[in-house]
Amino acid sequence: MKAKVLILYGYGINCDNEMQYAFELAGADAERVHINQLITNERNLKDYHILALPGGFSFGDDIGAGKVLATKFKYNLQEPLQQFIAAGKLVIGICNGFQVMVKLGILPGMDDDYRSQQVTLTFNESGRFEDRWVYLDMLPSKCVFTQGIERIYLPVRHGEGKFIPRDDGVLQKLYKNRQVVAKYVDPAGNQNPPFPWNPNGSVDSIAAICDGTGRIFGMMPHPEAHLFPTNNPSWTRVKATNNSLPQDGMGLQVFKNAVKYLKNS
Amino acid sequence: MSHRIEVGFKTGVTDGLGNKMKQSIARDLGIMVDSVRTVDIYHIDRLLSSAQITFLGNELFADPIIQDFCYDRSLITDYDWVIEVGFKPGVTDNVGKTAVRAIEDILKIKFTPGEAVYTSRQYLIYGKNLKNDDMENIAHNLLANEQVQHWLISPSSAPAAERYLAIPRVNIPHKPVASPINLDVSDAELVAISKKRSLALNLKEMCAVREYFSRSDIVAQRRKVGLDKQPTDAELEALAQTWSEHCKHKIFSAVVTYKDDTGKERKINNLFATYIKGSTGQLQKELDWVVSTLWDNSGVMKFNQDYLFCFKCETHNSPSNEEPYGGALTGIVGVYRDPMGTGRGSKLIYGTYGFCTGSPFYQGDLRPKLHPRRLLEGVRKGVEDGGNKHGVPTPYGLTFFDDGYIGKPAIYVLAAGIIPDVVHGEAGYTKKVDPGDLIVMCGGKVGIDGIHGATESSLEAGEWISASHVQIGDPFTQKKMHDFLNEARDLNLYKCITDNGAGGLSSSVGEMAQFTNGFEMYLDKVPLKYAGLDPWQILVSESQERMSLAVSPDRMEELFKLAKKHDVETTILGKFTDTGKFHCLYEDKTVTYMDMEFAHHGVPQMSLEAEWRSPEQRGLKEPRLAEITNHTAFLKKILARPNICSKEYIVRQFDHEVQGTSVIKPLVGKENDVNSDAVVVRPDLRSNAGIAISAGINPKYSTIDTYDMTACAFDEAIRRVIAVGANMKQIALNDNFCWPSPLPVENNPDAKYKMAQLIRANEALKDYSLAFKTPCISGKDSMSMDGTVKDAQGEDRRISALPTVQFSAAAKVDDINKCVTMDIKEPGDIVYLLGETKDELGGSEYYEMREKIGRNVPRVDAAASLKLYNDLAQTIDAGLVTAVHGCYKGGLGVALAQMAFAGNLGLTIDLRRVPTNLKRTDKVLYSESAGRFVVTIAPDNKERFLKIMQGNVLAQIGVVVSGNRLNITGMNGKVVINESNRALKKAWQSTFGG
Repeated sequence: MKAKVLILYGYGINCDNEMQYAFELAGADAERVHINQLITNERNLKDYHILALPGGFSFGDDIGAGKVLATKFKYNLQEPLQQFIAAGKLVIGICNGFQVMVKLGILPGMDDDYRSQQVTLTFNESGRFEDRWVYLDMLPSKCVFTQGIERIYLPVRHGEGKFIPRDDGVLQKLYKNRQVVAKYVDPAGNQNPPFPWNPNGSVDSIAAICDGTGRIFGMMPHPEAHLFPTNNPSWTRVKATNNSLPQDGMGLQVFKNAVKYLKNS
Repeated sequence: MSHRIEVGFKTGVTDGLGNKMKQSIARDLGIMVDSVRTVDIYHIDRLLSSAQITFLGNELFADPIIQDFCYDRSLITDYDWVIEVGFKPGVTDNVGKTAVRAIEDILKIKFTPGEAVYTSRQYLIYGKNLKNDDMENIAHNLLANEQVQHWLISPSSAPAAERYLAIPRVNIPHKPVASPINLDVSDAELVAISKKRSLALNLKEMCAVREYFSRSDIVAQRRKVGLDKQPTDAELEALAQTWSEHCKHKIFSAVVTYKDDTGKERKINNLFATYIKGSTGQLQKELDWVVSTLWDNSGVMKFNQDYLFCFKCETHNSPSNEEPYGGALTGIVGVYRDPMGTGRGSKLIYGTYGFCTGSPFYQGDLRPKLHPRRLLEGVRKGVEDGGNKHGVPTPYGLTFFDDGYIGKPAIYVLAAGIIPDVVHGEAGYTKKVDPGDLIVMCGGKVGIDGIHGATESSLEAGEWISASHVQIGDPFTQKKMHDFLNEARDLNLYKCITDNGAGGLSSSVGEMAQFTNGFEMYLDKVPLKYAGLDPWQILVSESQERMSLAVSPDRMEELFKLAKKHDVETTILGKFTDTGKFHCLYEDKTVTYMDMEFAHHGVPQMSLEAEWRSPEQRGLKEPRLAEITNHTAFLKKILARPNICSKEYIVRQFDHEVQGTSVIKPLVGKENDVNSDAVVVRPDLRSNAGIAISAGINPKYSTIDTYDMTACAFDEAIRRVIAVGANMKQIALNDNFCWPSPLPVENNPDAKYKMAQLIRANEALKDYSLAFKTPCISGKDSMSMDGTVKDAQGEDRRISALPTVQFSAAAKVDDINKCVTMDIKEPGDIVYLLGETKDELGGSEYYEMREKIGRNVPRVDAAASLKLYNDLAQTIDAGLVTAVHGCYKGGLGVALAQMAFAGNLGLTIDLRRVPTNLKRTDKVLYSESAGRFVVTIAPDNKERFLKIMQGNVLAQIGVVVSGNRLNITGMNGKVVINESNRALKKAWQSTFGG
């Protein structure tokens, strides 16, 4: 049976089409579903294996990025969502989707509490929106989506991507539980790089986290924007040097991992 | 009863906006403050309990990790000064609207009409010895724009109640009514009526209106529906919209008497038909990929077997001049509705921008209301929010600075979309409406904002509404509508779609009704932002984010259901008829009853005169200049010029990756930071076909000859897409004319010359369209690029912009995997210069630096260029080429430097090998001859490359080497430039600080 993915769209979510295509390339059945279809029970979360929250500007980023969509979930779909998580299913949020997840509290989901906010993503240190490609190093973690990836090259496109934990206790706990999934590094792989390699001033250069089980995952950079080798900004240079291009874009592995996990579980 | 919630950052959390403002206050205004903090205010204009407010503060307004909140008191009080900035009444408050939705959702309550949330922001300013004048300066020149915002300045000592900005409730104390306008008056009074109501109709047009409404058959018909021989205000306003320069292009449609520089006269009947439609129509017959041109909201071409492609470029000059952010935001969001309203309706795939303003570094005598730097930042931010929040990539754009734009800027915004080739058995580019179909409006609500001419009437009535016709756009509302309409199209829920742009419903419904020849619309059904609008205001309001549909009655239920899913306001306003009448009603009374024929074809043709004077007659000649002594220093200087240098900070703030379609980025090279000649997207992820996107512009050449200016802009747009891997087989263009007024009014002494410039530009458009077989499938003109600005002495000065044409190109790329970029890639690669370098420095950056204009403006050799571009495309397709870069502004010198620092390898060049008759190093380096490229190839491919390139002018001028220096041998055989890439790049990047 093919993995069934619910790609949330509507209300200013923007990256739903490419996210759907990413999961299709990875071998899943991906359906774009409007949140109002969930609220009216036209669609039910329990019928899907993966919930994907794509990037975009839900509700125009008004009040705070992801905030209003998070409240929409919380005050209309909290129980179905909690049941979905408890049932061992997968959730991925990219960029705006990640912002929704942390404000909703389903990330980092510490001590099996998927309801309270422990970290945030807020205005970039530069005070402005940035579109640029960044290098990420993966840390050893249980994250289902990043297994087998060591370094990945992806675009960030956000104005509010600066990761801040509630306090040092939360941060240390994230490390201890291996919930820090990815960090920004410079092209040589050096840790804790300055701007622009850490594009938003995130604490400890953190770009992605997961819950304690590794099934709930959020990340600021966009793997669905690197599905093809020709998405890579250096591809004409790579081609001139090697006379060939890799088969896939680096981001595709994230989606393949999810589908593979479901197949094996 | 209202509540005021204040939200601010916790101590120790960076306030990015506050820090940025501190920097801007120092940099732009020269005022030193210690620090700036910001507090966001939400005024909830509805009764709530304390418990509810606290709940909302915790759950919605404050981020518990980084923010604190309080209500009905001040959050922070230790500042020295506070400036609170909020919107004026009636101005769109997007955050306020979202807050209402969220509160309703969380508390499960409903706001009633009149209840709302209003937002404002406090800037808390810290610093000793700051005076009230400093605060006025900061508020007026940095934080707020009085067109749409108001503010309140308070010292720390002010009592709390006096520090709070008033809530901008709208209350229009007026009962809506349609009033008759008496046109049985003298000619002078007719003109006065037009002027007073800002109708922009001239005497001839006003007389045509009077004559129509006086006809006995018309009077008899109108009496039957309760009207008489006097037109109503709604009729007059609707005609003014339909007949406006904006909608009818009266200057382009005029009959013109053209006198050339020898004194010979000829008549040109309708420039648009003669030149633009003339060339495009001819090419449409020859080229099977040209699908639909020059009638719909955007032009359409074939893309691949599943999709059509459409695009349209607009300008939003006047609104951007008043309120740059709102002007550009409504510009980009507005132009999106053109592809959305083309054929059966498209999905948006990209947008582009062109910002022509005064120099951001302007320090001259003029005192425009907004300094060009502020204007540029405003329009940039407008396109950022419009594009990014709409989920549409903005991968390409340009800036062009000239102080002629201080009167009025040229702000270009372009949108492109894809339409399924076939939609439920009908070709995707077609439209139809049948009598009996319903008129349906969807999207935003209608308000008094967005009515040209509303200014005066609103002021007379007092300060109850913003005096501005400038609007703030709402990309969120439109993005929802976009998703809704794409699905409605695929479910075949509507037959025809068009956007509500200029002229509002009067234009959109009026145009769609031409399919059936008539309509009946109930203006009181239109959803309003607030009560009190007269029927004419509802009819012509340009309130944003609205589309009009024609829907078969049996599809309505399903359409409503889909609209509910997407939370998009959708309303039936009436029906299409075949009565031949433009019929609107308000509360069951007829308020317009005119013949469709008169409304759309009754406007009298304008007669204009044009008189050309050649550059020689205007005293232009080539200058005599001493050679440059230090070429390395000079190259760095030209690289740093505002019209040449890096504007990376602009590019980076636009999302150019969304939709996952990006192939060739706007910034390329080893460090992803040098401008690509053009960009490429693959709009259909399942297909290897792509669209190469570029634009060409060079208004400086207008000073010499608008024919060559137009030819060069045309060539540049084409050459740029060729440089990334497109070919000449399928390039569509969009022409945008921004012209100083050629109308013979009293303060416009050289109107005839400007009209002649326009004709010459059109001649070039036609000549090169036909020569290159690249049709202009869409376009637009803006014919009033003039403004009155005060100078330092307080005197009024009328400033006219340079005649400007931007050509935007969209070229089909058969296989995106074969695209190339401009950065040099491998040591050992051979460097070729393609095309002849001529003595063509007239209007060049080089002459401008040396304070000259010159005479020898670059000319485009169509035949040579066409062959060269075809052959080059073939070599790229064959994979023989590793880098291609066109020579544009700044010529060969700038092109070589950019290629070198983009690839960060050494480049060794010998100018003596350049194909040219020129003898001087400066001229060879900085000639702006069109039709040229610098190309690198691997040595192994030399033979195959040369074989394909046979018959073209080209020469090997150098080689890529290891290392990182640009080394150029001059015409005297000596090394004239030897500099590191790092230093060259630094010069190029430092102007705007990267």
